[in-house]
Amino acid sequence: MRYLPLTEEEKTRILKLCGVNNFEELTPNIPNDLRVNGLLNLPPRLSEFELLETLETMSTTNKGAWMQNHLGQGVYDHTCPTWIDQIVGRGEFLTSYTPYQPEVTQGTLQSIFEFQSMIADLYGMEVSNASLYDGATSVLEAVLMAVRTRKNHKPIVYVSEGTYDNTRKILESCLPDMGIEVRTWWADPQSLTSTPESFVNDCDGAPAAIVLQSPNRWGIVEDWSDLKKVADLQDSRSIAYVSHALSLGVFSPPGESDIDIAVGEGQSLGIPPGFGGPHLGLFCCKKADIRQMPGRLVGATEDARGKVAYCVTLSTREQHIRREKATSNICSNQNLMALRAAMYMTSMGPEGMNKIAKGLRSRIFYLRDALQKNFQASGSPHSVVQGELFNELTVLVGPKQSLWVDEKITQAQDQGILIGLEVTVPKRSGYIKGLNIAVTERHYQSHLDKIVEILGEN
Amino acid sequence: MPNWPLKTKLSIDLSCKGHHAYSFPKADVPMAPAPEQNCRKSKLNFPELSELSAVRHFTRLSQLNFSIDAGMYPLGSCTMKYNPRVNEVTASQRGFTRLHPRTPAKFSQGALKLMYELENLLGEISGFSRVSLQPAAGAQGEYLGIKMMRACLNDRGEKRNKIIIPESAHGTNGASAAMCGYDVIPLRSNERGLVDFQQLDELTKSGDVAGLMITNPNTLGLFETEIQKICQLIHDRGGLVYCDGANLNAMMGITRPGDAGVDCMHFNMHKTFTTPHGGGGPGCGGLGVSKTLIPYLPVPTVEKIPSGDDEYVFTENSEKSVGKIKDYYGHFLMMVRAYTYIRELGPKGIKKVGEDAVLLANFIRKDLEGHYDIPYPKTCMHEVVLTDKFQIKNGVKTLDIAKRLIDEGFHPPTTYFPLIVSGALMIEPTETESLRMVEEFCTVMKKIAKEAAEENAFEKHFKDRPRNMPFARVNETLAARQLKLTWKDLE
Repeated sequence: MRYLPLTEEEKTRILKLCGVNNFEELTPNIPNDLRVNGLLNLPPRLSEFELLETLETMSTTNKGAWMQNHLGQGVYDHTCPTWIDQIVGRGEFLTSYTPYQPEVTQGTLQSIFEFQSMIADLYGMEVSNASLYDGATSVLEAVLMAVRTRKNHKPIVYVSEGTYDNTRKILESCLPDMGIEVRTWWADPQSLTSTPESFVNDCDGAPAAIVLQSPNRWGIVEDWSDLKKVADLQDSRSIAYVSHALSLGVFSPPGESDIDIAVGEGQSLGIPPGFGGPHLGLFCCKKADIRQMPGRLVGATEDARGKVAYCVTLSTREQHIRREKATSNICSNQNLMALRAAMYMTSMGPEGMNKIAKGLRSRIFYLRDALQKNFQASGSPHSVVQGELFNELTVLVGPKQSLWVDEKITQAQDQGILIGLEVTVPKRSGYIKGLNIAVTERHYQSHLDKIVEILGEN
Repeated sequence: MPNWPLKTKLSIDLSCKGHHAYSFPKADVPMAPAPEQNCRKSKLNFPELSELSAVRHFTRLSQLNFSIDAGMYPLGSCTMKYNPRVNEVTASQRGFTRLHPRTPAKFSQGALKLMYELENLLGEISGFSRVSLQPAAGAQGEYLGIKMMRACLNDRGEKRNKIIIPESAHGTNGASAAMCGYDVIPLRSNERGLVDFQQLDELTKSGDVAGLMITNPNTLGLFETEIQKICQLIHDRGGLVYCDGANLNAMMGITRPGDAGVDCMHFNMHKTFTTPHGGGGPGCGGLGVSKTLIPYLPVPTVEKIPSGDDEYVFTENSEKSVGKIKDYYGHFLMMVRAYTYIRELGPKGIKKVGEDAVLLANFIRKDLEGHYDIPYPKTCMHEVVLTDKFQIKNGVKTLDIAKRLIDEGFHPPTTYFPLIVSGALMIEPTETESLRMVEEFCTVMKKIAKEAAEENAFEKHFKDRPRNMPFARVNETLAARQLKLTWKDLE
């Protein structure tokens, strides 16, 4: 066995050194009735060649990975420079331990420092941590942090209606354990954005936190200054949830609206969809709140010879020191993903970040205009969301058309296209459901025209 | 580690105006005019590097890391074993990487099948009835397990508010229990380093204990020999038992926690099943559960269609589920690596993993006997705990030994953990190290013990270690005092 070099002779030597005759005598603490009798019922071992064949078959069965893909809702099939795959794959990054020994992990530490610098800059915030599991986890941790820092407020969080279903489900299953209630900041039925006018405080007091997601689940870009206004009404903590990191290449970042806690999903920064993970949770806040921040932080310092060096800092917030009083139970960061993101942002530079964002926005506006024109010309009962967009839009489905989305999804699949995802829309908007469509830089005009051809009336 | 002088400038300080390392398709649609409002005002302060400069920068950074590929990591409780390269190849297949998590089941059958099969493989290895792969890391597995225990007790109409955790446990245990709203009650170890059964008996009499979080083998490297009796006691008192699976490696193919009566246990894929540690993540959790807890599993779950065809679907139909704790299904690409590893090993390989890990740790225990204090000297599983008791008398402490090892090309062991042992040095060689390598490590450890016994030992051998690395001792106090966390803070 190529990974298990201990030979029978060496085994005998060790047993002898320990003064026992067999493995059972070496492990007297294991009760005999708990020992596995013989071998486990596992499939027989495969050689490397057979492994590659088996996994390749499993991989190619996933036909979706070869289709024209417009699935979004927080995960996108963006491109990534190939050098990143190769350099992330260096054993020194891949097989290094958590950098608790700074003298021998300066590579990991400096790359985290660079990651923190670029994420904080992208978000316009003072500090970023070294990352959390994913965007949804970051929102959850942000709410916990907000409640910790607003002890005299009601343990209630208002979450914008345009927040992803998955994120909301996670908040709803995890927050009640901590005595925190989730309520909704409704969206305006016309604009499908959450505004100060559409905010209704029905909690008989001041809520600890307000969460706004942008771009929202219908693809519309929200206004962080509205979040700031609503939060300031009762001194609640404002939490900005940036669902698509690349959107900050053109749109105003949370820091420009003086938001307290800004979190988000970093998957679009060079990380593949990977059937849902691992992705990258981003987390930024103000320096004043740093001692309440969850997750690992790296700071600059110097070594004994006065050379600039980096190390994990403020560990006293973390679980391995504070145990049950820690700011979070999370003890990993998404380090290889954070490294990918750091490499991606380094590749792009300020210009690339702006260019790719502009390109995505142009594609989605092209698609919206084309769909809209078609719907209007044909007197279709459907319409397309209005307002500012980034790389996603939602087709709003007219009354009595409940089968339309399923039909179109199937029709597109027959042509090798994953056209989008069904999303719910507020009933009060006058529409019954939505079809959410995402674009990436892989899509040309011809791909977009194909969508119009499938969804439009000819 | 290379010994040429490594430049360690920040990427921002290498920046050349106008350089870039991207190449993405240009939009062939008309450019949309800039947004009327909500436009970004501040310019990004990102570096501008050509592709070579970027590659060189990160390659140089990588060279400043110690890694498994470069040397041995005797880190106790961390199971720093070899991460097979073939895992990286299988996990980078397009059919896995470019698959969107909301792809309809008929276009993602391979991924569903892999998850379904991995659940079953893990179930067989651990002795649990069902496995959820949703947790993003071990800590989230702990959280999920305790959450499911809570849901189960609520279902029985029981409002219990305490969780018992041994003092030797990992810090995450308490933090995870607290996130589920529980108070943590500490439990002593007895003189043999095992759970103090009598105290456990006393603590659980009150009827408000929801359960026990036990680590087995525990962090002293000892198998909890009374595990069945412990589980029985907790169950008799109406509670449930969580097992921290951090040390599963030592049990693989030898004994199964599910058979001992444990109700649930998390997996650490990066320890036991060779997904890369990655300098701190991403992890991959997984949670094995007994029949009692199946109704509370998070959604969605992967099911095989009973028709007999090889067909799989996600289902959300579960009335009692605790809901969702992680976006989508967990860290899928890590699951591909774990699956690859288990399929390569087969039943014989899995058993050899457990046995060899234990044999090599025992070699260290015997070989270092007399050179270092071993507080529980009679037996150990996959790791052995030493202390600095002999050396500290001469002014050399655990931290000094750890930093001294770096200059000999070894990563230090886990230090000052478990907290119940003063000056602990916790050593876990793992089964992928050769006996020859382990002997070399022991030789160095003995040499260090000898140095520590010399007159003026600290000044002569331990002061200012490491001395031969590109970086000398890093000032962690200064970092916490000045709090420079971005390159903007350095200006």
